[in-house]
Amino acid sequence: MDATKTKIKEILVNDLKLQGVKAEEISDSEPLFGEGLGLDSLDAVELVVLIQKHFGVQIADMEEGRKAFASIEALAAYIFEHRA
Amino acid sequence: MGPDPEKKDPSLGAESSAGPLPVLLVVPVYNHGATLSGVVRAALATGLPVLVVDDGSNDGGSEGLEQLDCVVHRLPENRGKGAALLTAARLAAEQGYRAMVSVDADGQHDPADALRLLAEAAAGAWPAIIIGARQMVEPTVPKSSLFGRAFSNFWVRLECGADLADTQSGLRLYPLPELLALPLSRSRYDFEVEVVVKAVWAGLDVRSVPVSVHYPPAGDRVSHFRGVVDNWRLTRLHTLLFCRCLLPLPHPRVVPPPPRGATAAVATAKKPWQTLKRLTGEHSSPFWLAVAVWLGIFLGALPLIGVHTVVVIYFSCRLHVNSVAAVAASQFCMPPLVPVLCIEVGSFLRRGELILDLSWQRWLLEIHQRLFDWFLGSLLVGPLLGFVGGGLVYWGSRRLQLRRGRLYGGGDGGAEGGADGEADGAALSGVSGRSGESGLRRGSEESGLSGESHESGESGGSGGGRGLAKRLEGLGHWFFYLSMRLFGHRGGIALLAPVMGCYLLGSRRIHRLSRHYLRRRFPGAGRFALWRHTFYNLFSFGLVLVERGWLGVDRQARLKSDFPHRDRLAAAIARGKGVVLLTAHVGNWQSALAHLGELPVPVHAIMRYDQQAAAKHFFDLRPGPPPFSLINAEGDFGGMVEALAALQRGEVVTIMGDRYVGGPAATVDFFATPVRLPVAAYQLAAMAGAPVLVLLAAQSGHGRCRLQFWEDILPAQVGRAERPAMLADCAGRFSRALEEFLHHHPYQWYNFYNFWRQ
Repeated sequence: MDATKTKIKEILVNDLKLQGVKAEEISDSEPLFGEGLGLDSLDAVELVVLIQKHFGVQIADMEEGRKAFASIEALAAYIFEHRA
Repeated sequence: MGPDPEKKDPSLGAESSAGPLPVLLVVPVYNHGATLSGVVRAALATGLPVLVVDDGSNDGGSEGLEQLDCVVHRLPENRGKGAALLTAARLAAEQGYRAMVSVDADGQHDPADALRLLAEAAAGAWPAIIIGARQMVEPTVPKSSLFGRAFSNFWVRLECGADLADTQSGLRLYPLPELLALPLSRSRYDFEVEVVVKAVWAGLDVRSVPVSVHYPPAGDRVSHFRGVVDNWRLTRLHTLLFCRCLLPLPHPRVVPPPPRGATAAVATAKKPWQTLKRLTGEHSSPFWLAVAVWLGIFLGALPLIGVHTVVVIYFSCRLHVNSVAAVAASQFCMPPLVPVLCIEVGSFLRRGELILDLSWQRWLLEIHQRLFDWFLGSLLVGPLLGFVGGGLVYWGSRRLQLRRGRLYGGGDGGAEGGADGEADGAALSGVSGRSGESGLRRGSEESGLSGESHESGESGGSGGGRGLAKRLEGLGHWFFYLSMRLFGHRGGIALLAPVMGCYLLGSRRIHRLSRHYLRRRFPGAGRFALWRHTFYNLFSFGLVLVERGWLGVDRQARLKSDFPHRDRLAAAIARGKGVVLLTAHVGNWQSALAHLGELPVPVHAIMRYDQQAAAKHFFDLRPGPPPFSLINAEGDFGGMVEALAALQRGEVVTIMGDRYVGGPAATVDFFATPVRLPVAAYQLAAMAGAPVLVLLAAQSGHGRCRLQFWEDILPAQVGRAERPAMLADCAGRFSRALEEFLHHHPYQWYNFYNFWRQ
């Protein structure tokens, strides 16, 4: 789990290129979108693609996406659950 | 105040009445034994002295009243409600009363409402007849009563010009000296109509206040209104009143005429423009405009050679309808078309043959021999044409009124002007399939030039009348579809052209809204050029509406479409990375979407709720499965996650690229002015590696449209920092493609709002 969380944070910083943020500064429970990290819908699309690329996990609709995108923690749990 | 227990022998002395105006409450009764005592008790509770006039009852009804503090006056034989009221009025006047309130004995009125009438009398001009207008909202109100009332109101309005909500109500306040001075001749149920009309003629003020009404369920209702006899009486009365009202003789007045301000006449002569404005605005509700148009066409069709205009003005003034509309409508019957039609019809009626010889000799030199044919034919053609013209005018002006209502009702700024006729399309196609009542009502609420389908549900309803008006409007829609059915889309166009003309002439708003685009598309165009462009723009929009309506009405109808780039789309799909089809609200875009059903992969459309509703309507009616599934643009992230998944499966996603309604956007130049455009499509394509094809469908003639790719964009996958630039670049290419399209099809832009402020 922790490895997944760290990996997600690295993806956010290195691939999504979040500026002015370091991987270790991102808290596990912070919301990804809106308030917290300030990601938007364009980032959401990109994040879906990145998670596919790195973990092979598909988020096909927002039924699933809504809980997966709640925080780093939730996303890690989602990936953990859906990883083959 | 209750009845005085001391007073064993109640007198009718005026001094015992309440308030400054000596008022008597009168209950005329004929065989209403069951309800009478209850009514009298309630009447006494108002504190007014009560007189019961027993109009020769033979059910012993008024016998149970000895215990009550009221006066009963028995008439030896039944002479009718009117006669009973006049008897009561005479009695009351002798006793020094100045006014009386009549209350029906059948219990439909609440006698306490008499006080509301008194309050109204005190608040406005006196003397006046105050009518308690019954609020007929109970489900037990019989339909025949509602119709009878509307019918009576209509004729009273024509005869005396007074717009009253309930001309048949029995709950009224009458001023006694004036009532007795009126030349009344009716004694039964027709009394109530007669008294209103003659009172207005005599210069009395007639007003109404809303009152409650109670209709017991059908079984318990006792009414002595005899259908055939009393309706015949009413018809006869209205005929007489109508004829009297057309006569140019003065009416006897019971109140002194108001001091004639010399100003009115002078102003009329000195200020022709203001006079015209006033005349145009008179009696200009949609319904009464339609009546004026009917009258104008009817009179215009009659063979009144040389005096048409004078007759039309005379009649429209006498009947209190809009004279400008009536005169304008009568011009429609100018020779040769309508007179020839009338003569042909008349000839056919008389001799069973048409006049096929179209020579001067026959039509011009022998016109005197054709006069009777003309007259006979006009009696048939005039009213029918009048209904068509009146219907059209009603329909058109209702549209205008609804939209004005919306304008002032404060719809939200952005969507308010969002006029692309999605809703119209929905209405057009929606009604055709299910021509039931609900379909019509839906249509009538949803259509209108500003296609705000999701708001119009609330605001459209508040804009206008109910009941009869709704049904008439439904009739207008029905007529539109009927003519489409009968005459194909040409019939629709023929009907739509005058409506568009009305918009163009009558609505400043449509000019204001279309100018945002037209000024930029045609820079340097003068006032008149802009006018012309607006007309073409609007007419092109109308054509698309008719086209869509036609597709909905006629299931066999197919748009002939040229799609020269079909192969390019097939090739793009074959690459398996998905395709983003970017369209815009131009041309016949819904038809463009209809063609997507023929693709080898599923098609998804990202749409907002209102677009969905319109599109669903449109495609539900077409045979076969819907051409695409919908992704809700109002979901999380604007449906982008779902759209991405579809693209990754190699499927097609269509998005509207022009309207910005929220979400990510870029500002680019469009006709040399910066505008915000949505950019989600490019990001989706970039992430999926899919191409963006700009597909726009131009209306290219009746029943034809041309689908064409105006731009291929392959958005690059870039980092977060470069992303805005990439998206703006893509949006810029889309904007240039749209400019290019509009360069070829300048009038097919249907965003009737300030697009540059979105």
